[in-house]
Amino acid sequence: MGRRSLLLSASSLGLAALWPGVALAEAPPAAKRQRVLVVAFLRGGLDGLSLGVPHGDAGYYSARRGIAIAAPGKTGGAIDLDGYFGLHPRLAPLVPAYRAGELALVHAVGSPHGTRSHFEAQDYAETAMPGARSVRDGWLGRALVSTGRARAPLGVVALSSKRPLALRGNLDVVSAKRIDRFALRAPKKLDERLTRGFEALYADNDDPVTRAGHNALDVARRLRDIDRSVDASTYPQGARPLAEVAALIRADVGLEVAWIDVGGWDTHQGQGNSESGRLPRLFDGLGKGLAQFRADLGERFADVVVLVMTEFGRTVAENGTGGTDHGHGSAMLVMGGPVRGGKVYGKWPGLAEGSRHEKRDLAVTTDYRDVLAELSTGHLGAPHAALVTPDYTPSPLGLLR
Amino acid sequence: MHKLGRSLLVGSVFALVGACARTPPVAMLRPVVAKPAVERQLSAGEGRHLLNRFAFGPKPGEVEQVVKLGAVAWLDAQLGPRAPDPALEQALTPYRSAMEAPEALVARWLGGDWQDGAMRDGEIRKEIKDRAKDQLARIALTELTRHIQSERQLEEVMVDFWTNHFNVFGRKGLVRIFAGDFIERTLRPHALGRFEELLVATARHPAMLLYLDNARSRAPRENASGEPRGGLNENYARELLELHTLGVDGGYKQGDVDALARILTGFSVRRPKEGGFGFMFRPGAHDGSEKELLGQHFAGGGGEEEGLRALSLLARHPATARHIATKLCARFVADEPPPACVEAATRSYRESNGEIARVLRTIALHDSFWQTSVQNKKLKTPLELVVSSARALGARPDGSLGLAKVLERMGEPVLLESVPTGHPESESEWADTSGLLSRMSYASLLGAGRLPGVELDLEKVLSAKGDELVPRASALLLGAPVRERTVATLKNAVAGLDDPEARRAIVVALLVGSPEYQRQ
Repeated sequence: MGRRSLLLSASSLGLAALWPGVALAEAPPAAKRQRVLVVAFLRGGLDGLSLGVPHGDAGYYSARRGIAIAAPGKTGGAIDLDGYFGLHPRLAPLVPAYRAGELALVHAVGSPHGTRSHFEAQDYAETAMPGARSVRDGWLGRALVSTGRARAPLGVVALSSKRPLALRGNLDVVSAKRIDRFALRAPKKLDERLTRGFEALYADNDDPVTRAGHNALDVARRLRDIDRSVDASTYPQGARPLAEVAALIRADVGLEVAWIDVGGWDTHQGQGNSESGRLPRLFDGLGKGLAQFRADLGERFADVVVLVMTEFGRTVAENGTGGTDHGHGSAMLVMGGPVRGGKVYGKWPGLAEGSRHEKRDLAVTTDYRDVLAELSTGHLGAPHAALVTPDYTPSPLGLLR
Repeated sequence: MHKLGRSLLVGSVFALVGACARTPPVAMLRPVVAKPAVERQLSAGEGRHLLNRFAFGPKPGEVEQVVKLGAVAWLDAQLGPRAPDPALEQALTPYRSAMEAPEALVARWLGGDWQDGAMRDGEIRKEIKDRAKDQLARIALTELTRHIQSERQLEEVMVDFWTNHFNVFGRKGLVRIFAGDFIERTLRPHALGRFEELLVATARHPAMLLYLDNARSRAPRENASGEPRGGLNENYARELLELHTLGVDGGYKQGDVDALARILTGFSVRRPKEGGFGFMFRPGAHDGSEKELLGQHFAGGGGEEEGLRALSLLARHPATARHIATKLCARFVADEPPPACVEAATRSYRESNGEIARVLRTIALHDSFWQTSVQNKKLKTPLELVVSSARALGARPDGSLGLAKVLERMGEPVLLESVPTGHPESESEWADTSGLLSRMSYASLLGAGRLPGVELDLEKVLSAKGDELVPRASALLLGAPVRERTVATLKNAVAGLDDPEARRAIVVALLVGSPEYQRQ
């Protein structure tokens, strides 16, 4: 208790204060070969059993008569990864990355907290402090602040209409649904007077509202001039945010963290299997988008890690409406040059009723904080895991090279 | 009641004073008997505060009216009976189909075909999707028009509140055709009434039953060969406990979610071929087994009555009283609601058995509402910014659907939040770069008269010329006093500019987009 409240108060005061001088330094010129972490949060509760299909577990097929993904080799079957697990067939575009050792699957991963509420579980996944309701900063925010590095105005970007809880904390975040349209909309002949007027009104920077306004105007000025050489039309509709992140990375604006919200994963009905239904459509966009992202980054992919995660998994059994209800354990994808991929991580608990969480859901054998802390320390350079997951001592999985 | 308590206290203090041989100077006693704002003449700032929170901000001249009337009389009028408002009804004409009954709507869209059972429900869904594209925008404009023009401002604020509390997502399947009916015929009539009636009305509404999947939830059973068919969907039961009634810390367990889901099996939607859209209890889907909800035994076999009993149990539960009281204090007083406000509102809820008007009155007359530390502090949501600035400037929807898109771009589209929590209320959720940029963009287009979907005659509300423009415009939008820096910035921004229209556009844009105007 004492430890948590100490760390919490340290983080709420701004951990940057622990490294005086460094955090206050002027932003560096956009550095080449900046390491980048991209988090794609699948909101609604991804069915991990459709992402990483446990075709070797007979329990999977007996629990899902209508929506199971067939075994590899059958019509519409999964793409085998290691003889036991397979990828959903609509994720075929990711197979080259897996074979090249740049994509890992983490299975039976999730929260130690049993909540099946979306917003509570999302909050916990974003604070990385499951069960603590009043935490006001997020794991990524804490990780970034703890590095003590100064960063460029476009260093942290959320492709989301609102700043996600994961990125709350004492740091500046640019959040916008579409970064390429981040500009003041004003009639041409008034534009300059209005821009200067607003810049003066928001000069103070002294509370969350003025600070957000100040940053908005600053970033809008900078974005006018960046080069965009990524063709967004080559990305599926739902994966456009990945095109914008690729453009920012290639433009060397000093991007360090990008957050992407992807909605629609709450598949209570009409989940579908391999061809039609909601999940096949969603996986189609995800697979093509991530593959295009990797291709667009080329050799820059060596510095980039993409984490695909969700708030919880879904029931092992199919429900009465061709879908699945809120469950517990799920699966993650971790992709990028620094990733030790080509492997399925985690310990498989099995799907027999006795092995399930509360007899209904995939059990959690890997705490998601192990992954979040490992990427924070190993990739973003947070000095201590305890600064990222204050009430938990994580065990790294060895995901990074 | 409240007033009586106060005057007794004042009386006894004077009695005490009279009884003392050496009376201390009355001034010394003033802190003890200082009248709360609700009983004395309000200052202009306090009048504005009341209108900022219990209305969508003042129209020109309205602060003065409230000061003259006093807080209690103003509240009484707001909570009193509804008067006819022909001007408002006239303004709603272009959006009338938003209020049309679902059946009439579908009949008009699809012709007579849908009634003869020739079309399957799935086909109807696709047809409607194509024709309902603008329906949500019409509903949004209905609400915006009412928020801006209605005299029943507290009802409007509460309709917005309940729309988020009982959120439904308008783009989910057939929810499209029920959403207008849900707001206008379910939330609105109960917005100031009894919580239990409101709760039951939402639980029997197709929009809610479809959005949270209860319409298709059924007791698990086996078919002839012993395989399970049909099944339970606990989505609605969970949100009903977590969001609508007890609250996430309300002390329920997974077992209660499961029991409530079983109790509510059968609460479903009547389909066209069954005699037209509406609520329908399906006995065949109902789980007849015994259940235990929050320590109460349900013997089973009770059908629809079981659900009504459960809803009543939830509406009267102490955790519900606290949950609703906390949310209302957060809405009307401060993001971090003062504990004293929550206590008083909770008590009021329990004593009145969930009379919403009584709880609102308690909050409005509570000292914590009138503290200077909460005035002009609460960040407006985008909807509140749009409605308050339209009211202040006499702007009105122009009969088109443009304003719905504006609100969507600002992040708070009506009925388009997909998560059951609805749009958030607190500053931490809204104070963000993209949000602030969209507010400044809104202000810029509004000031310049280029905001799609809005009719605005700035010259009418702001005829001041020359040096008078900045102080008049500041007083209109912010009241007084205005920061030095803001005044200087406004003057600077129009320096050397002669065109009166451009001057007005710039001053109004900068004021509506200013940090001060984002708060209320």
